[in-house]
Amino acid sequence: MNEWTGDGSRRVLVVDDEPDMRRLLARLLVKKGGYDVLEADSGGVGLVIARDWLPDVVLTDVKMPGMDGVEFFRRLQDIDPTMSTIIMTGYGTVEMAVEALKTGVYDFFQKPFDNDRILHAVARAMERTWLLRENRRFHELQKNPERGDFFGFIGNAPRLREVEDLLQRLAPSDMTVLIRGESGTGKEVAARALHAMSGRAGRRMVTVNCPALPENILESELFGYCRGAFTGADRDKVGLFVEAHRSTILLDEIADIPVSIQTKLLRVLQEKEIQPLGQTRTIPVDVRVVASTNQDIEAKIARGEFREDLFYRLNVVTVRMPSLEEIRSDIPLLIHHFLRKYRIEYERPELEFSEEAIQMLLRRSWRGNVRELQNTINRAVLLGSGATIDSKDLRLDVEVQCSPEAHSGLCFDQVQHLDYAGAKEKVLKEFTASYLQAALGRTKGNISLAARNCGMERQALQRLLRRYQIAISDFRS
Amino acid sequence: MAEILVLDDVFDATVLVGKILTRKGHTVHTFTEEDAALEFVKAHPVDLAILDIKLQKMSGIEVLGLMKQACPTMHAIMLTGYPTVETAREAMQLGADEYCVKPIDKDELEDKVEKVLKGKK
Repeated sequence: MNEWTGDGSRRVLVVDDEPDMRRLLARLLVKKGGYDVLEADSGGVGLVIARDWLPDVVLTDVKMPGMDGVEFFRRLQDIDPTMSTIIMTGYGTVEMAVEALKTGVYDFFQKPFDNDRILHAVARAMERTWLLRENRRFHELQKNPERGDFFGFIGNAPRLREVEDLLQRLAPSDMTVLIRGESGTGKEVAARALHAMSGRAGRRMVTVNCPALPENILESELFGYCRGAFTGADRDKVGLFVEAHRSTILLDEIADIPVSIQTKLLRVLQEKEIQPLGQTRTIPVDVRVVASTNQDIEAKIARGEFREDLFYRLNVVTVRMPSLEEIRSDIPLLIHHFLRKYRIEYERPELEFSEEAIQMLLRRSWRGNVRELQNTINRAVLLGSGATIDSKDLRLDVEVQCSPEAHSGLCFDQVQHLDYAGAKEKVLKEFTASYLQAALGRTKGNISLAARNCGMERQALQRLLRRYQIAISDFRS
Repeated sequence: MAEILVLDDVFDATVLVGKILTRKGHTVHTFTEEDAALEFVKAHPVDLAILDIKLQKMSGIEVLGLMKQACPTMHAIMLTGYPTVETAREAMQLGADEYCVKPIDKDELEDKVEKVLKGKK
């Protein structure tokens, strides 16, 4: 029930038995306010509309045949207490106004009234409804966390639903799919969902992070080689395409692969066969190819860095992942989901966010998308010192200050006069020292925790601290 | 028992309300000037304010808004000889618990004060 669409439509229901008054108000609200407006000539009709259409704000007359405005308001509250109601009356008495406002009517006007004041009141009522619904959604989620979980996608936003729907329809086919979207929007999760829903789900999906591998290694990884194909090829190597036979291969960050490999990839897509290095024979493969990128491939094509024909082969169907900005209405759901996840992971079941911290998470713009939100919550749950996570524990401002750009330029200019080994030594030393200092600063000198955050062994971290002479006592206060 | 502030520009009215409520065991602070009443609330939070609407400088509605800012948990009863839908609406939206019309008899006043204070607990 009570579905808050969050799609930006703002609905006002006008209930009055006088047709002229009703139309006047409806026209005013549509023209000046840009609202979606429906009209009803009685409380009975109003309730039917309210139940199906769930208006945000209801404007009602008091004196109507049948159900009066006050009774109508009471019944509206049973449908959805977050709707804000404004009562209008031609025969207003002070008692009536006081009683109505005491029972929760949002505003009360005596006719005739000023148009601007009504518009203003509706706008404020709209805001109240929105806040109440946002709040209710957050609290509902705490009771009912399972909602909106689709192969790792958390959310109910229409844009996300579209993506889920598309993935569902594409999954059973063998069509090549290009997944596009900003960093952190879940491109790999989408690829996994495609694989999991397909007939290939029984086999492991193979993921290749294209830019992580140098050109020649990427080639031999993808297509394999025969013994003796080149120096050091002392035995046959099965390529990832063969490994992904009857399964799915995800080519992550496809825009970054070198042109020479693009040509070979094109051949795989066209002929459905691969040719390992050093072999004349081709091997037929049955692989579903999914590629992902966060880059502007069209621009790369224009610059000649990406083959247009490969692009068209890959781009049979495009799935565009929404940025977190596009699915803001899902942020409460995501906050709740990640809080729950990391509470279990770090065994801190009692941990909650303070209201202030929640507000901060809800309002912030997330350039790093869901991943950034996830990492922020992960860190807060791990490092939060008290029983509640407050806005300080989110450490969102600190983040901005130590962005890598602030350091790197400085370092390189200073070492340009040294020889390579010397320069590397110096930059590495500076990097390691500032990186570890920041890591220890965050954990207040807790070495084990800092090591865990940095993904290294405690002993290794301690070795580095000794080598670079970082005094741990500086961080313990 | 409660700490109650009474503000009315007519001195006799404050004395009368003060007497009724003191007899009920409350501590009553009476004022005829809005500034003095506001200063008092800022220094000394009260449980309930009974405010007249027609005052010397400001309106009782304005005073209500300022007092709620200084002391958000404070309850309020508006008491006026010139009731209008407009002031009733504004008072309720600013968080008044009751809006009563003068003249108010002793029993009604006692009853309303008791109800409002009970709602607090």
